[in-house]
Amino acid sequence: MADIQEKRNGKELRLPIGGKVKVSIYIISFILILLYLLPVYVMLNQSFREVTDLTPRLYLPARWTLENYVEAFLDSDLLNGFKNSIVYVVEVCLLEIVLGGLASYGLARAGGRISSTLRTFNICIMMIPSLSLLVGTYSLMVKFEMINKIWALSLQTAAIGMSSTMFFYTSFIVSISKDLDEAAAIDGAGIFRTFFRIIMPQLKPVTVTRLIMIAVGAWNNYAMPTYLLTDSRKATVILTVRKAFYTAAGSVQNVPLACAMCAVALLPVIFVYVFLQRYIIEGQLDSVSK
Amino acid sequence: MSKRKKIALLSLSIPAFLLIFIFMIVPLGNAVRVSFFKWNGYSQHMSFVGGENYLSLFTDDVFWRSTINTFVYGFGSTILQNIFGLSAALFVNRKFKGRNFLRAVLYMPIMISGVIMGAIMYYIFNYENGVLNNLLNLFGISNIYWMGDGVRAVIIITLINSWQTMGFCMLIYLAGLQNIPKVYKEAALLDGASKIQAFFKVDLPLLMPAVTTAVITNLIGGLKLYDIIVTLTNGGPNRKSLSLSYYISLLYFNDEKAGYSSAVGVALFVIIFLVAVPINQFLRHREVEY
Amino acid sequence: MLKRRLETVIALCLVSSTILLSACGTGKEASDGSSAEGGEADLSGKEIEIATYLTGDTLEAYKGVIADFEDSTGVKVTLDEYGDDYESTMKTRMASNDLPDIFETHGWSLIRYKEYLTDLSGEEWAQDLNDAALGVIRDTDGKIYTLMTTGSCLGTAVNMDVCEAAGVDPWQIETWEDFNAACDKIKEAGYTPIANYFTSAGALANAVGSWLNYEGETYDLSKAMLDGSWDWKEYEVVLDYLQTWFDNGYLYEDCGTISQTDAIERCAQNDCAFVVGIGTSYQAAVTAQNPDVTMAMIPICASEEGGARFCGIGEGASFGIWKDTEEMDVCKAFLNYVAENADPINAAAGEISTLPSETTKSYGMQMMEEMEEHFPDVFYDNLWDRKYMPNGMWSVFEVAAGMFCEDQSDENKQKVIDYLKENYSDLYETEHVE
Repeated sequence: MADIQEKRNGKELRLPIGGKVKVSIYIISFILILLYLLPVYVMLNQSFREVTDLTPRLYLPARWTLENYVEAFLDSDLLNGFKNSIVYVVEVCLLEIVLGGLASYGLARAGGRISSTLRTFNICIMMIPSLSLLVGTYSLMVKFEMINKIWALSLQTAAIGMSSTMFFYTSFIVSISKDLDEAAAIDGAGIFRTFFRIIMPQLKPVTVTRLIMIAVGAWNNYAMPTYLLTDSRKATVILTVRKAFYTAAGSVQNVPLACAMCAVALLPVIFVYVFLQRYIIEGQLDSVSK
Repeated sequence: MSKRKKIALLSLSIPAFLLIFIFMIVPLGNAVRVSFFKWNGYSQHMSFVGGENYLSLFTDDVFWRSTINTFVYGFGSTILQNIFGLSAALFVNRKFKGRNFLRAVLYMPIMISGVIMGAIMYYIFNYENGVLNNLLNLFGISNIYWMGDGVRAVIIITLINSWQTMGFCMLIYLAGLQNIPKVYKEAALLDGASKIQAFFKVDLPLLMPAVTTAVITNLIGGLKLYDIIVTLTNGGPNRKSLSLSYYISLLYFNDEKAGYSSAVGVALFVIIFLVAVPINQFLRHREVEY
Repeated sequence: MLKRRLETVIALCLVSSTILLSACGTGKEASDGSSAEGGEADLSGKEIEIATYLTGDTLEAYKGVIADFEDSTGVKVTLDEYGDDYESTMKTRMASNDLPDIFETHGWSLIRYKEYLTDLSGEEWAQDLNDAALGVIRDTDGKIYTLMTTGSCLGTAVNMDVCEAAGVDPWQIETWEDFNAACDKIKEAGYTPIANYFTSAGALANAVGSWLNYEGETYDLSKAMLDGSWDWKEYEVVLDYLQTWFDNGYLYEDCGTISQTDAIERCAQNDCAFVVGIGTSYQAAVTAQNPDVTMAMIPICASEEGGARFCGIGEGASFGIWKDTEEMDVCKAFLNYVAENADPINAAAGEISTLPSETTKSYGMQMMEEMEEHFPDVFYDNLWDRKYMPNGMWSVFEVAAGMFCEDQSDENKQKVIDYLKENYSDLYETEHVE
């Protein structure tokens, strides 16, 4: 049985490594998994400890406790944070996908100097970190009373991410045949109809990839939200978790509680990931295979 | 294409560019204005100092250090992620039991926020009672002061960032590999090429399109690196592991130098813009090949 | 006057509890009742926003006080917990001129927040504040902008167990020379003598007064510092001394990258003996992590024989009211309430109460009394940087601490001094322009 397995592996091999392939594969896999799960282990290990447990962090807790989780779950801020984060993520995704998709379609199909200039401009500003404009953005948003408003943060985040969404969409739309548009036009479809009915379905792989990247990015966004959402009722999950690591005012930093908060905050992400990972990964695979 | 149609298509991009205008160009203008003032960031009093803030850039060691760091974070992790990602893709592309699990585990850290990851990594890389040193002690090696100097801290942060986000490259390359028709490679092997030669002559060139996507995404992520540094090193030791993004927010909120902070922001904007131009050239060339 | 207020509160509590018991009323009615009896304005249904930097147990205690206040008055309180981001967030809120109705002034009521605060010197509790508090929060024109319920007392934290194991009697330490001799002994015994961490500005600022400011010390430069003419030459003495800590290996090797949390953890493991220039909340935190450790506080050493052995007094928990608040009455009522019910906050913070209403002796108070038994002539002064330095120097010291920790060569020491001097004159100028 093992022989057959190995033979099959041998045939499928893409890298020229011979010998005891199977054993080495599992050894490498094992090391990789250890390397990738170590932080999760450290986090979980901490989260089951008592504050007074100061034994080395590599080893299991001296006394196990679930108290931190009880406290983390009872923390109303965390629950509220989930709600805010979900609103924020959905808003950013919608804005970027709809507006970015439309704009890319327009630019890719219009051609000509204006569209080419706009696309160049787009690529140039794509890599600029939003914090470089911190002072400018902040004082502007203060002036227009956009502080502590999730929609305002969503607009800001979408604006920063828009250029990369447009970049990926335009390079994809260019490769879609114009015949489709023309056929639709002959059928009497307007621009919007053509885009949403004909083009958008073709863009599904890119859309999935971008959606994941935008959603993960927004969910984990920390820099701008810290400054733009100062009201704790508006805080996102990440901001709430960060609070658990605060040390100000000389109080003991409750690391175990903070780790439990992290674990609870990561729970839905991991949950979504485990259930959707097939789609997430396949979707991303598809987007490149075009 | 009729002129009317063209204008209609171009106008599709108006909402997207309007957002970019409001949240990037206007703040940039605002930042440029503030950069000519001396201002502590909150007082109602600002005093005009002309180009003084820009002149100070040249003598500010921390600024140059952070600029170099930003490039290391940006380009260093891009290179590492591509190397790690390609290796992982080649590895996971083999057929063995549990490879889907391995693939999922390798991709997972992307879902974890940099703030949380940094906080956990702090406990791993701590000098006394750090998990990594605990591990080394098991093998009789005494504690290593991982974050002892700036260069080492920057390298470790780059490694962690590459480790964390490597999964994205892995997926992109995996998709690329799965799309390479087997006949090409078989032909090469029949011609007497070794497996290694076949990889470099056949697989790698065909993977090049995937590289663009990977490089762009990694660069965007690396150049704006911020949250993991906040919780891992706090910019230390002696402000030597700062990225420009972090330096800007420290200057604004910690050092109360909002004017100078804006100047650094404008400088960062310009630097990234200059880097983006050659990359843009490269990308436009590539697009023609479609 | 105070008595009457107490009666009001008691009446108010009674009324509200009766109503609660008879289960026929809401908080609104309860405060209606109190307004009838105490002659106070009806506050129920009003809303105020409070910002806090407290975290952990202290925050929980504060939340408890707020909840009680809400129950007894029917006021709705929104609490913003800013924690480590408190200062940056408050700066952003000052920039937008939109502040919380009540916020903590954490030592900056005069220098930073004054222009945004309400003068509270007319409040009843202002008469009850002790001199230590008044010395810190009273402006030159007699105005008071903050209710200070606790002061933080800054001295040298001592792990008595480690000292005992090394055969050191910390109560005998008077000058820095004695201190270094003690450190040598502790190091010989296999412990780390000093757990100071150079990621904090305190490392270069908190103990400075003992060389540069007080009677009988090496220098007395207070005047020059305050009128902006100080040229920082003398600061070299401080750095020269701190260098001995590095040269003699008193510090942790990673003192440039650890935080207070690590110092607390290591002290709780009986690994180190002293932290110089730290508030009593440190000792409280250590004992929270390991109740078996015996901690104590000694003053900061003197630079010369017979010099001032001093402790810094700073604002602990202190609450100010935004001058443009729309609910001034509610805010003042809240501060009155806090003034009378600050006990649990003080107990959790481990600091020193400044109000006579304290009934249980706080941890910090116990530390201080123990210290005064051994050092009856401790000299108290305001925190050095708050008193002698312009606003904004704290973060400058933080950067300087990082610079100094990395390299203690003469050349770099000069760089550190130049850096401090440059920012000092800059900030001094800014502060005195307006």
